[in-house]
Amino acid sequence: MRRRSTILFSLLLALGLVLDASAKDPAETEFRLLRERMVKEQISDAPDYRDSVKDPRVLRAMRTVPRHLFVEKKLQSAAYGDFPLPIGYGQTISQPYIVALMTEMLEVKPDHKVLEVGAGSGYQAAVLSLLVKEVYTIEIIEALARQAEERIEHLQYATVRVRVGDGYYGWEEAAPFDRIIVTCAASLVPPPLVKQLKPGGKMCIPVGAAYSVQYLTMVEKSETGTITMRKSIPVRFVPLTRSGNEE
Amino acid sequence: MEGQTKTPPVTSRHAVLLFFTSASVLAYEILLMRLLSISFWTHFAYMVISLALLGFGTSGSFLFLLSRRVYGSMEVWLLLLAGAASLSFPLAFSLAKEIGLDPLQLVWQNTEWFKMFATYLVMAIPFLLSGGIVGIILSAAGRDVPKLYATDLLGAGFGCMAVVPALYLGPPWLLLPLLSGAMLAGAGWCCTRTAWGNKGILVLPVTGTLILACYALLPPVPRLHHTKALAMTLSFPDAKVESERHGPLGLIHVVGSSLIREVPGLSLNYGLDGKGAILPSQKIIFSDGDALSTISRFKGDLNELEHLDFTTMALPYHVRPLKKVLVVGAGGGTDVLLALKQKASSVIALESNAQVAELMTGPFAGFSGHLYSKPEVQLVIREARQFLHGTEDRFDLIQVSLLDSFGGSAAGLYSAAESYLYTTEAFRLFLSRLSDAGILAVTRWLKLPPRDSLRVFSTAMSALRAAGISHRPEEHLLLIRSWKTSTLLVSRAPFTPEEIDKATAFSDRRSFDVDYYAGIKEERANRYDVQEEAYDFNGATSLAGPESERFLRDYLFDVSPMRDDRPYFSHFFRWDKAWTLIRQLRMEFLPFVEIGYLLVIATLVQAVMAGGALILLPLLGLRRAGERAEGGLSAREVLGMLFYFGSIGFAFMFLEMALLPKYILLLAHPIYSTTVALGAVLVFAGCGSLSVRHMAGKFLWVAVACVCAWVLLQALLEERLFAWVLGWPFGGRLAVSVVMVGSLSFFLGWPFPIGLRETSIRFPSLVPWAWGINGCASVIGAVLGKMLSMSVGLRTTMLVAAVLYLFSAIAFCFTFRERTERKCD
Repeated sequence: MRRRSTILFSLLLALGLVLDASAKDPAETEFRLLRERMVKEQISDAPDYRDSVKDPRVLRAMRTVPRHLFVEKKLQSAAYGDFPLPIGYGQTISQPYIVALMTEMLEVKPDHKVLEVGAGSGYQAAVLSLLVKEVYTIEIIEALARQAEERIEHLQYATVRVRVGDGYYGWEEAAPFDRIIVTCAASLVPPPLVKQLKPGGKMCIPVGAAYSVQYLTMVEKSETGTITMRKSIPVRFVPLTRSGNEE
Repeated sequence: MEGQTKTPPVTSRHAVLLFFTSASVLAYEILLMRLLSISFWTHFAYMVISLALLGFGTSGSFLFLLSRRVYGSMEVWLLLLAGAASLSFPLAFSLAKEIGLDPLQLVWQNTEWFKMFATYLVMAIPFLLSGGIVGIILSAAGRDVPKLYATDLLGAGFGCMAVVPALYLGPPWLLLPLLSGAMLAGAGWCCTRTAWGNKGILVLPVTGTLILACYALLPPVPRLHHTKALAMTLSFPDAKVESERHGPLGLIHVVGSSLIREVPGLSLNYGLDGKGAILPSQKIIFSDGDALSTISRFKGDLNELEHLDFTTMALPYHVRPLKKVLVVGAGGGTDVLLALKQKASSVIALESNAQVAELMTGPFAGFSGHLYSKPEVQLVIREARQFLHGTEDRFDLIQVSLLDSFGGSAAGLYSAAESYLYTTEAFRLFLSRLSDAGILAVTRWLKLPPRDSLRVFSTAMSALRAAGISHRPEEHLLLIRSWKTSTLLVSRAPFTPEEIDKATAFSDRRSFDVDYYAGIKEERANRYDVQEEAYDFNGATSLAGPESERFLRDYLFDVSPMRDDRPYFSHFFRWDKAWTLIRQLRMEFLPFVEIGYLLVIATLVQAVMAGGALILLPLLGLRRAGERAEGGLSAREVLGMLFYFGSIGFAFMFLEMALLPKYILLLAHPIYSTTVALGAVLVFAGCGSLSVRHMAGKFLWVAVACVCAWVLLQALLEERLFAWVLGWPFGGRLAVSVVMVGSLSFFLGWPFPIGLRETSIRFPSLVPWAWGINGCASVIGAVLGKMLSMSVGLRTTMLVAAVLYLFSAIAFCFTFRERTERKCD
């Protein structure tokens, strides 16, 4: 009898602690709901001018990573909006849809090793870390790199390594990579990165001005080392030469 | 009459203050354009003009509200306004900076609209205060309005023209105290002895101290927008500003860093052959924070330039032997190095910015291997069209490469900027200066869906036809692209099958796509950098084929050929497609339309709101008070005044907004064009105002007739005149510009003082209302004129202005009928 009472009391105590914990974290609940809505409305059931992202692993990662923790406090309420946000030094955290789209286009697998050039806020690296074996991310601006590193450590994305450095030379010690993503604006694709891409590997380069991606360039290296590129626009235009009255 | 305030006499001392005020405020306008260009981008200039006029117009409203108090102690008010205005020159910009507007976020964040409006209002304060001074003096002038209005315009013209050489002395924010000083000097001369007895003099040191405090606590140094290339480059760990130059053409910085690697659209095949991917160290030349050009280290070994052969700009050298080369916009010398690498025997490097040329031949000569001193290379500091008009030389290659920064181009920041290098007339000139086998090579940044590449293509087709190559002009075109650039070759002679083979071999080796040559099959295109649809191929073949007109009509973007009459190359926006885009894409439309044009639209919305709220609304109520004071006005008179002052306000600004870009062609740079067009307009309009002092109202028709005649003659003869003058030295072109603009402006200076004089005689209480209507129309007209120019062309904008002047003359006759009936008959 006494033993039963002790167990019951312990269970009630545990339940109370759990309830208490969630009562203390209504903001987190709200952000989680915002994240769910973000995935549903912007990504998986995207508006008809977008190709919805369907990869369940990618969607799960987008639901899991707390995007609001990768922006300044004053912008957290806007973190799940359908737009990019500034993170300082002329950089932005990409629109959620673009992050999901690029992740899906990379077709990452659980045993992949991924290099990201331009860590920025660390958000893309965090998303990738839930999908692949290892993520290496480089950022030239030390302040940004340190911030990204702190966030990633705090959130315990242990498979992400952050380095302050010149992304032009990639990460030679860890090369070759199955996938590379180049998020910093560059006028050229660094030849060392092309070399560090494994045969059969893919590289994704978003191209456009600050706050807006105009097109995505996918670089693919065949098993024999031949390079091909694909371009895609992240939205679907009406036929470009449709007459105005054909709506 | 009841409600009418007796105004004190206006003397020559007031005229001195008026002169200094107008000079300071116009100079401030130019400096503000420079400050905003450094902080943001150049097309904020139109916002500044709109602001200036808003401030002036609003001052009219306040003046009427406070007229009794003001005229009761006019000297005190003038002194205080002068002190406040002189303080506001640095302070307004500093405060506006603290608002923290980010124009790139206007579409994403609603709060930015409030910030933009707040910025707009804060920056209008100096103009409001200065406008108060001008308004007080002009309102008190009575029959002397024409004389004092002339003083106002002459002062403004002087300020406008003095500020340009002053920009060589230092950065714009350090010139602001000079304006404050000029304003205080005028106030000191005018009013310090008559305001508050002799105590008025104290205003001067107090204001001076406050200005110093402003510089110490809130210096008006522009903060670069964080996405500007200079701001981003300076965040590199070892980035260092190695040189700085200031001048009217821009604030130039040269930045060095080991992390700079600019080789636009470098082939991904470069360096895969095992020899290693060697790139020289580089520095970047920035102008107002935007990347202008790259300087590469060159030690004389042409083998170090192998990477340049892996760009689309190298194509022409692989198609034909090209020995005599003209590089347009040589800048840091990349295309010159390419020409030397390709064994050109003579390279003329054109650079229109003398400061850039000085940097390349001075502090960076050694780094660049004394490129511009090489025997094969001749540096010419000249704008391209002016140079070509003045020479009979023929070139094997004219290279025009990537004259806009990528970031600015991708964001559409140049949509409101004029460029006379990419028009049909320009291409036709280039073609006329090619040797028989010569090639024009034009490289632009790639966009998806394509815009630049297709517009270059359509403009080239138009130029070929204009040059008399109407039989199969498409055989003279060849288009390729890399993953980030596209290069179009335009040849006087058709490309032969052998040359096409060479072009395809060049492209295949570098994994560049060939998007067009005459007879190209679809399977040849879109192989390496595969687009979801072969956009460039489809667009180019459509433009080269019989369905080109249909394509231009139906394409989502305006890629029609450019002409000198509408030189807005980067303006691809189509109103008839815009709603489709926005409805389909919602906020995603942003990357595909130009922020530059959206900012012009945003400025128009603000101008209408601010003008309506601050100028018209108060005056609507005051108009009724004035009508009661005048014993009642008829609807005809009210509407007539509204129409008269409104239409001359619109018409004046439409003409000014069309003149400013037009004279960029003759004078090579917007700052010179602004100074001359604005300065000459003001000075000669001032002279015109002076001349109507003793003229009856009926002479308004003379002015209107002369303006209309000028506009018609300009429309008919301008092309020939400009072609004749373009090759002249700068002094000659300047003189012609001044004469042309001045002859028009002399008559533009008549309508406003004539109307204001008639109003001050017949309806004196309504002078501020008339002033306010004109101000409001000017505010909106400045931005609307810009939009009209971009949409329908400069000539049509000027014709609309001429028609508005005609209507204004009719309105004048109806409004001031009793007094002028005898005279209009």
